[in-house]
Amino acid sequence: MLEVQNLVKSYPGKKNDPHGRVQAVKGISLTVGQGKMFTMLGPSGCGKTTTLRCIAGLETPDAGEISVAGQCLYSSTQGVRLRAYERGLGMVFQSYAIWPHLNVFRNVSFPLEVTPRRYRPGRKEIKERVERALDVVQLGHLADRQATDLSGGQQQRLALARALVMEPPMLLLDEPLSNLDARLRDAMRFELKRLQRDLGLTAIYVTHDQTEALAMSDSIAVMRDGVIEQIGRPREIYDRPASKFVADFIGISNFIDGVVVGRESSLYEVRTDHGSLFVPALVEPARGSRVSVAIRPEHITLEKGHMELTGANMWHGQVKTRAFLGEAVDHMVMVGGTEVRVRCNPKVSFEEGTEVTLTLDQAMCSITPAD
Amino acid sequence: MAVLALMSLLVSVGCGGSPTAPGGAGQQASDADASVTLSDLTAELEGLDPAARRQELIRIAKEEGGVVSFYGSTNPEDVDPVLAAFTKDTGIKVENYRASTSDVLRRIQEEASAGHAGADVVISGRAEYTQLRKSDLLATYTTPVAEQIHDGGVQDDGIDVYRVLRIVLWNTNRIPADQAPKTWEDVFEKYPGELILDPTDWDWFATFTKSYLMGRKGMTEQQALDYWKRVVKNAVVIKGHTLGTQLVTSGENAISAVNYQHGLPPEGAPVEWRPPMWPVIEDSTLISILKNTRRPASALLLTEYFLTDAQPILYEGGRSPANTTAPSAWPKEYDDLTVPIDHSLYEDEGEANRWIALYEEVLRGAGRASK
Amino acid sequence: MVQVLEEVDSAPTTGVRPPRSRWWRTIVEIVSPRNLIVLTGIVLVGWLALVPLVYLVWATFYNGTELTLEFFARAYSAFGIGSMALNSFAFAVGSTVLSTVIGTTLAYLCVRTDVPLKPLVFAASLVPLIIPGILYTISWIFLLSPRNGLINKALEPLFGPGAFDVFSLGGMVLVEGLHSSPLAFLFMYAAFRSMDPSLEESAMMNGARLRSVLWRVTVPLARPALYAATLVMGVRAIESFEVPALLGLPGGIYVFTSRIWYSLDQYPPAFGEAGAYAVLLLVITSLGLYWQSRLSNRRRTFQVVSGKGFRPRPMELGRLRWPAAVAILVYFVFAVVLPVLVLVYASTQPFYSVPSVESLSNMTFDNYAAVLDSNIVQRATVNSLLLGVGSATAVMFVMAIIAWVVVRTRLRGRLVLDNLAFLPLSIPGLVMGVALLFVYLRFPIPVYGTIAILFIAYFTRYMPYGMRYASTSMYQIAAELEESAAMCGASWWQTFRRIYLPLLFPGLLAGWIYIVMVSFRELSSSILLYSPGNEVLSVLIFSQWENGQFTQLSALGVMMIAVLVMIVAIAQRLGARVGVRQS
Repeated sequence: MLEVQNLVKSYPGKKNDPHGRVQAVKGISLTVGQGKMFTMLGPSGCGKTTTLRCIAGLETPDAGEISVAGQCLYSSTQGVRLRAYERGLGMVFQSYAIWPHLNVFRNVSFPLEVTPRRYRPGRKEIKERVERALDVVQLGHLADRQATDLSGGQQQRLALARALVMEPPMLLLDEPLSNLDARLRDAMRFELKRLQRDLGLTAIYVTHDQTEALAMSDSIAVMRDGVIEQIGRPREIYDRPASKFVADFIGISNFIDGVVVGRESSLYEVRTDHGSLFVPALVEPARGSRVSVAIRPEHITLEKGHMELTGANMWHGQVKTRAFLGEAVDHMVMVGGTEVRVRCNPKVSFEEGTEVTLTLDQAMCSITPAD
Repeated sequence: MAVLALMSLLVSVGCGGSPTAPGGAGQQASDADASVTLSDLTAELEGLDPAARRQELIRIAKEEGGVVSFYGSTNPEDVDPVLAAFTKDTGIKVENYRASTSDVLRRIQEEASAGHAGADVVISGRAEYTQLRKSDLLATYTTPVAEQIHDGGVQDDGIDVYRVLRIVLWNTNRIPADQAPKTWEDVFEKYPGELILDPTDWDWFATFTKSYLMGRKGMTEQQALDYWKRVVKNAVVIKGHTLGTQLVTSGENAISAVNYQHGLPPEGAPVEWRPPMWPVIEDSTLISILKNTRRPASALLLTEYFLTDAQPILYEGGRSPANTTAPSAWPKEYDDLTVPIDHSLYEDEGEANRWIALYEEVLRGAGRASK
Repeated sequence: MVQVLEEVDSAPTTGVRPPRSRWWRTIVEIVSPRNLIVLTGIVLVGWLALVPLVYLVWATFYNGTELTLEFFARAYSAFGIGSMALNSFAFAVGSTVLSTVIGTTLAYLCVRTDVPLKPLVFAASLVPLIIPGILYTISWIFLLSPRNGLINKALEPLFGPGAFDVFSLGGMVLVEGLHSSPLAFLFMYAAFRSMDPSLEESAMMNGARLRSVLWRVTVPLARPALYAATLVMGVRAIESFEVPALLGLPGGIYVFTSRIWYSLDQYPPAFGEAGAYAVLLLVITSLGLYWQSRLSNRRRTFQVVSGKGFRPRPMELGRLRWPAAVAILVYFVFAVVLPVLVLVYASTQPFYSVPSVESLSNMTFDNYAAVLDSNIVQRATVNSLLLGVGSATAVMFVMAIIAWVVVRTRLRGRLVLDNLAFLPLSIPGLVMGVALLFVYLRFPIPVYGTIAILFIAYFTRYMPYGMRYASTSMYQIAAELEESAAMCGASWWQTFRRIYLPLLFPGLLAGWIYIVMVSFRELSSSILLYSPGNEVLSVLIFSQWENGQFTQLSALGVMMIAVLVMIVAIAQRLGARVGVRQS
């Protein structure tokens, strides 16, 4: 449905900036299939919003190709550039951007009313479509209200209805939930996902919240400094981060530095200060290269006392601190000079100073290039 | 940026070649020179009695278009009845542009330099008349009516319409009859803090200083100025004769040195100006015909009308007409108290500016309105 | 939901309109409504602003034979220039502060609180604007002159005679401040009407008291409007003529404008010198403008009209409610009632004298009869109305577009445009009149001699005010409101018409009202440019003033006030219905 190739976008830098222009997007390519929810995830300044706005037509890229459903929206090589209002894409803004001087109905009917006369639906049809869109987001009973009389969550749904009424081939969402309180955000997450799936909409979602991204997306692109660090399904990203940045950004991770010394079928042996680890790898690190092994705290198990090291990836350590989180207990365990965070079931709780044995789940370790 | 360049282009095109210096008249207006036509006309009409002369002028005026354009700094109350009567008597319509005397001057000058024949006849103050003459914008004309005008009121390109007399005015409640001023020294020295001087009266100041202080009292110019600087401490500066007259009428100030005799408040107001003291500085407004007029006969007709039939009407408006056969608001017994304003002031810009500067310097020492 | 699913499945339209050939697209893009409209607006503003500006600069630096600085030398070496500068500064600052404080307070009370007597506030805030400068100043002379001033006389038992003196710097500041506070009121009214009160409400929820809320939330948010208002009023104060002339001269206080008019009154008029002063004014104005726009840039903090949705709800004053109402009444009495009463009284008298039993028994309506009878008055009223309403509408519309260019685009040179639109403010009306006279006498299209040249003059003179109102309002609208419209498929013009214009309405209306009202007072350009048949009311008033007919003048003034109050009331009714409704 969406094809982006080699997208580049820069801005004029601040005055007195020796670097001149600021590169916001440095050559991004991605493909999104029909009916999928694709999320761009990353810290602020990573270029995710800029990319979205380029797709929307609100920004003009420096170079690249963008096409939707086979239709070219922007191409620097062919000199094509459709304006935002010609692209027919729906967009939900972070601040909803509903119009305060119109009521709920008029907000939603606006896209239909401004269609060029040739394609414009009649009044009756407009009414039907608007009511339908409002029903979908469950705002049908508020059609006559002034838009400003709605609560935050309702306004967000209104923005959604407005985007949907056009029946666009693709929906763009720019951090739509970040202005809602935590509880509402949770609920809306499910709502949005459900809607997207039920309507079979292709959605491009931008967020800095990794929980949101993991919960809602079919695939995620983790971005940093204008490039995509990794694209993949949520599970992949989470379990097999391709770089330290991705691992760090998505959930919490431990990093243990080492050197690749050997390979045995699909496992690589990484020698660390505390012993070797055997780790599966997506990429193929060269022998002798420096790497970091990433492992999530919840993928390490603890047992009391210094047990015999019977299997691979088992170490001895000592509990330094622990924190009770309600649904889990976090232990900071010193292994030699390295601090390792281990998340345990609440039943497993060791005092400071306890000697423990750690088992790092081999399948859940991943190799990331050392910085 | 391209837009701005386009605009500058437009501007330079619009301004045309090199505009003349501001305030000056620049090149000759059109090639029409009414002086020639007018002298021919006068020759033609020689010997006719006044009624026949007028009929003939009306006939030619109708051929010229039946409209005459009149610019004046005159009071609508005075002039509207005149114009209405004129149209009734002759059938010629009048287009009347009315503004302050300096605005009238500016407008005529600008129109002339653009080759636009806006005005046919103009009534203006002496300063502006002199300017018009110096800019070579006035036509010369003669008329038998001139015989009825008071002495000194006839030039070859301008004839007095009515006299402007400036008198001292005081409030009879504040200054009872036994304390009324009998000499100019009384006026300047007897009422500290109450005397009003108007900064626009520089020509009065010059003429008065020359004729009274230097003439009758025999002071040198420096002595006269010293005298002024001494007495000005008793005065306050009020701009605008109307306001000055109002303040004396209401009793806020007791006395004003220069008021227009035709601007007195109506009967019943507690003010007095009689008997006036020598010198009563007298000026006049003059009526002239523009050199580039296309309607010389109409212009001459209106001019003669102003100098004859209009004069009694002007008297009814409180004016002192220049035509000696008409009744005048200025009592005949005071005629020998008048002194004409110093014409050289207007002929010589250097003189004028010198006296303007002197007056300003004097007024700087004026007292404050509050005590 | 199932229905919707089916819909989507069966009709997979892309929503993207069919593409056209590249050449066609390029042509359409260049000649698009947006570009045409914007270009027209820019050219119009540029032309109108540059004509008098170029003329002024040229007249100041060129003496007929060569480029020269002699006018500057003469102008700035004049006697007393130092104290003049000081006085001008003190006067400008004092009256600006006074009018800003009054106007802002009134606007805030009117828009954001539940103070009683609101329609009164609105009317009271605007009436001083309608009264011609001459009349307003003179009525204050009659109220506060040291000997006979009515207020002084009334206070004599308490303070002794001559307690207040209007012929002083304080008097000048008071009269100018009161006379200009409607301008500040209109600016801030528009700003407050568009502001999101939840920002203040959240401050209050966090325990801040009213005073803190005002100081820490409201004032900072209203900053662009405040700066704009301050800038305009500062320039006007420096340029003000009647108050310093009528009140300053008797008090021995000279300011810049006294000097400018002195130069122009000379024989022959010293245009070069006047220009030298005007050029300084221009520089000050440009600096002020630059400073103001830097402070009000596109920072999101000022974008308080957002799609995040807000509910304009009045704040409760609680205990302060009635004191505020009393304060408003007091203001109303001083700024409006007293001067108008003086005028009304004067209009019934054959000549002015301090009110007494005798004078009251002499009351007559002769002056009104004379005014109503006159054909010229009727014609002039119609002309003034036409010009006022016409130029106000045209200015606000064009300036809305220019404001969009300046605030919302990244067009190079847009700040120059902003500056250009604002500069006519610092060109003295007389100079403007002469410049227009000069140019349009030579113009190929016959504009001179018709009412069109007056229209041009008014448009040029009021462009700066329109620009300030429009751009202040524009700053307050979040950029996303335009973007979401574009995403919904609206072209530029559709967005402008359906989103911007309604949201800008409070500001546009305020500007409109202001321009209509002051256009009735516009004199210095009108008098030079009008032609017989095109007279306007201000010209009539002037000729009566020049001819010493103060009482008749008062009658005319009173009637003018009545007419304009009606217009404003109607406009306000209309305005309450458009834009964001208050709940």
